[in-house]
Amino acid sequence: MAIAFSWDLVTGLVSFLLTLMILSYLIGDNPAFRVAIYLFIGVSAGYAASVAWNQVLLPRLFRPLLDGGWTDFVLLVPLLLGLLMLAKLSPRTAALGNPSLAVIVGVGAAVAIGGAIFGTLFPQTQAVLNEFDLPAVSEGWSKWLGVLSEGLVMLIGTVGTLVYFQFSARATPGGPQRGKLVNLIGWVGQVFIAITFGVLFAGVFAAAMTALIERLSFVVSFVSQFF
Amino acid sequence: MNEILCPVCSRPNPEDQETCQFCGASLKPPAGIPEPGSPIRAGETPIIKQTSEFEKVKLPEGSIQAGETPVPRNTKELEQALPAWLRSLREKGELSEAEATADASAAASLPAESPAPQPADTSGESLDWLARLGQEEEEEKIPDWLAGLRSSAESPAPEAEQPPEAGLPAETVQPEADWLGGAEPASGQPSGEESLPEWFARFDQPSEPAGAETFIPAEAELPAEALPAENLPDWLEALKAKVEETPESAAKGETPDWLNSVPAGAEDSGLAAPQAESPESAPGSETPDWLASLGAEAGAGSEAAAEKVFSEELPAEESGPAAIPEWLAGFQLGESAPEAEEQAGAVEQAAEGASAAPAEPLPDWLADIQKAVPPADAVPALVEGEEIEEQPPVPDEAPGTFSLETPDWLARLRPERSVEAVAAAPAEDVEPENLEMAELPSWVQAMKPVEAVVSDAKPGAPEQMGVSESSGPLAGLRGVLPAGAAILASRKPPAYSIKLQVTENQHKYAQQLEKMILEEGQAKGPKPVSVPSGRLWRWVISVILILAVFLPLVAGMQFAPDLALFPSEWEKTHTLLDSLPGNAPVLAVFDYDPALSSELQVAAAPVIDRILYGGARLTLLSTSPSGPALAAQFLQSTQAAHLEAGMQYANLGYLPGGPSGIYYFATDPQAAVPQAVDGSDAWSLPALQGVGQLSDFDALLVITDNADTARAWVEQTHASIGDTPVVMIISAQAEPMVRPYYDSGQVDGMVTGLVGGKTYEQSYGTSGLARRYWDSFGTGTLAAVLLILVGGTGGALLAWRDRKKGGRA
Repeated sequence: MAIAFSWDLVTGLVSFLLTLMILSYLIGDNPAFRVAIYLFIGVSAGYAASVAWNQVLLPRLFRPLLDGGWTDFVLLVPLLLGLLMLAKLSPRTAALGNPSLAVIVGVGAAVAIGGAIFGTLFPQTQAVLNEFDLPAVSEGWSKWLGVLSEGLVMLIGTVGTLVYFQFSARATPGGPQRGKLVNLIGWVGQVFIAITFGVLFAGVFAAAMTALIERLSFVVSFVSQFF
Repeated sequence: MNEILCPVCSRPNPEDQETCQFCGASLKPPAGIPEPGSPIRAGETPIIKQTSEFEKVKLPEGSIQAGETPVPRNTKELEQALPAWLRSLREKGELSEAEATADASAAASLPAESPAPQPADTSGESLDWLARLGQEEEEEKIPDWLAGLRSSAESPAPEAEQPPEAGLPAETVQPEADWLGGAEPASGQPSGEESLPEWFARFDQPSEPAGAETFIPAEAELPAEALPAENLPDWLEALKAKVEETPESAAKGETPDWLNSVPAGAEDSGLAAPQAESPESAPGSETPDWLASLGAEAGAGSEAAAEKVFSEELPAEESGPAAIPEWLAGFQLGESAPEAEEQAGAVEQAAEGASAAPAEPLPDWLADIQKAVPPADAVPALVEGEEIEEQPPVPDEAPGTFSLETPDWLARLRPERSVEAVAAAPAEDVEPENLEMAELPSWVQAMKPVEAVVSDAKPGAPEQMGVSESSGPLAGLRGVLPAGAAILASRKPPAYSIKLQVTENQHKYAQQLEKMILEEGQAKGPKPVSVPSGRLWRWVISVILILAVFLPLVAGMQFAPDLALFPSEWEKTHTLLDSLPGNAPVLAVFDYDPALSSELQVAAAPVIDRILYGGARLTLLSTSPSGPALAAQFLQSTQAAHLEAGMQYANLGYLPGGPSGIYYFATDPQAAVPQAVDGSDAWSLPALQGVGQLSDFDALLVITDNADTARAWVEQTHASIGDTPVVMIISAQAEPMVRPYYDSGQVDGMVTGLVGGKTYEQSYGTSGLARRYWDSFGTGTLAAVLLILVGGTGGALLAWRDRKKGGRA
């Protein structure tokens, strides 16, 4: 079977080789694996730089400054801050980049804290409270019990997890010891923590398994086209 | 009434006196010390003493042991040990014997009054006289060396060297008057009366009355039979024989050699005895050391002064050879002490004017002139030694030995009389009884008394006379060192070993400590890990999973059934998506990494396909630089059909700034992203028609594998998004963190991973990637579960076994 030359074949071959190089990690750290890793990091960084230039700096900073009007001269401020950030490359001039860094950190912290408080803390607190907003018994005992049990499990899991990370203890002749009730609730919280980690591991395993399947599917597809 | 001579000043004291009435010295010997007369006299048989203590002392080889009978020896070879001045005298004596013939005429010409040159005096007579002197020495305490000199000095010239000892008692001075009397003719004969020094005349005048009556010639008091011939030393006997052979030279032959040289010189110069003392008349090589040093120190000045004094006081006619000067006889025979002191005082005045304070000890005769009672420190060593011998502390000699083997004067010369030893020590620092020689010839050491080396032989002596040294250069000396008895009684300090004395336990502990220190310095490597087993398990697990995933893909068969139960969020999400109006603007955010693109493509493909089929206008945006490319690749790989159909979508590209960019986009989308990826005005694109705010979108689809990104979109857009539903298409690994937002209502729909994609495919009745991957995912998950179970079980068994072993241990 004659194989016609195409970009798909080239990209497919490169992808196939890079995939084998990554899978070679099964036999341990080796140069093939390292070449694939370095290539991936390099290509990603180059692509990100090109994206930043093509999609951020040029269209949103330099072009308005060059082609824009007087109102666009306000972009000199971000340009100046951006240039000062380059001063961080040298330890001698690193201090010049502090104002730019201060702007970034300050704005980012403000945005993150505001979003966390009003986007996560309050809504999640409200959601916990809503869990105990039991429906009317008239709607059915099963639903009522379901909502109640879900709320209780969430409550026990939350309290148990918080108690587990409570390290206050009472001084005794045998050493610092926590109370029996605290130990019991902490043990329950430990169970919830274990389940949570299990769920996280399952999600990671499922994601990795899907990636493995996709790569093996590509290998099979690439190889199968030659037969 | 018997008298006792003082051992210090030699003056007579009543017998009942315990201390000297003149000098206050003790007249009684200390306890345990024999009386002065107790030593064995010449000719007596030595008494065998207890020599056990003496034998402990290591004596020089060849020395006579205690209790042994002395054997006569030839002392010629021992003459090397004699003092230098004495040897020189002996040598000079031998030479003078040869000159005796030449001097015989001069001796024969001496006047008859002269006692020394009497022709009737043969050697035998002279020896008798000497022998008698030898006996009288012990009784009268006359120094032995003087006795020895006297025995060999018939010539008056050497006797003239002995000045009148004004300080000595009459008994001790009297014999000296003999030889002084004999010296007068010798000194006066050559020059006659005019040649007599004036000092002779001066001395003669005041002493003439008393001296003339008491003067006794030496020959009259010294019979020749007084000393047995067998008691004479060898050299005296030889000398005697020589004199007998040459009777014509008797006068010269009887005198000592060194004295013979003096008259010769005196004859030439015509000077009397006093002149012989001068360095000019008696060369240093021929005179004793002490005399030579004295002459050198005194100088010509003292001599001149003395001559002046003598010349003024001695009349010329009194110095004639016919009669012995009365002044001299009276002076020597026992002039009363005041008279002698007066004479000595006159001489002393002259001597003080002439002498320039000699630094070294003066000879006894000069010391006696200067002082009425000669102090111990001003007396020459020999004289002082003589006095020491007379003292009680040192009578324990072996007289028999000395009398048989050595000359009398030498026999009496105990080790402490050594010139070198005495000259080495200052006279004022040495007790008279402690003068003993430090380095002694062997033959002298052989004659050392037993008591001198055995300290215990004299009980009680150390307390009163000092400790006797038993070893070292001071052996035999008593009381020399002023150290106390405690120091003397000290013994050799105990020897301490420098080796550390440790017990067995301490040694064991030290070894343990040393071992610990050595082990501390040795690097301990990690415990060997069973690498083959770990690598084997890794290979086994890898092979199992690869096979579980690879076989369904290769086989093309469905091993895993479709989902029987859909996730709880499916219904809400499906309802939401199905309720989107046609041509609705939908914002799809592609915020995932390429690594997990396959999973998210599987999850998002059915949803995007569903809304595209509904006619929605899709707007692509990404907060990740790689997002726009992934979004394009997603559309090309999964929505190729829609693209070919001319679907309307707008790719806004990359949204920088993270949460800040999201917030900025949420508040002002057109300002945040003014242009599309291709540089065109994004908001003028058909896909974004009618959209100016975030809330203008009918749905917000966030496709991400990161829970933080999902949370950021929820948090930053909750205030601006309005009623626009938010659907999270996420990876399975982000589900646990995003689900609370779904449960709280902040997220309206959620599609999770492969399962979510498979659910929507299955619900929509399509077959896509989810279906293709589902079998492999099923088999792979099953294999992983089995491995976990097997591994968990094996680990539990190993733990149980280890615990069991630990319990047994």
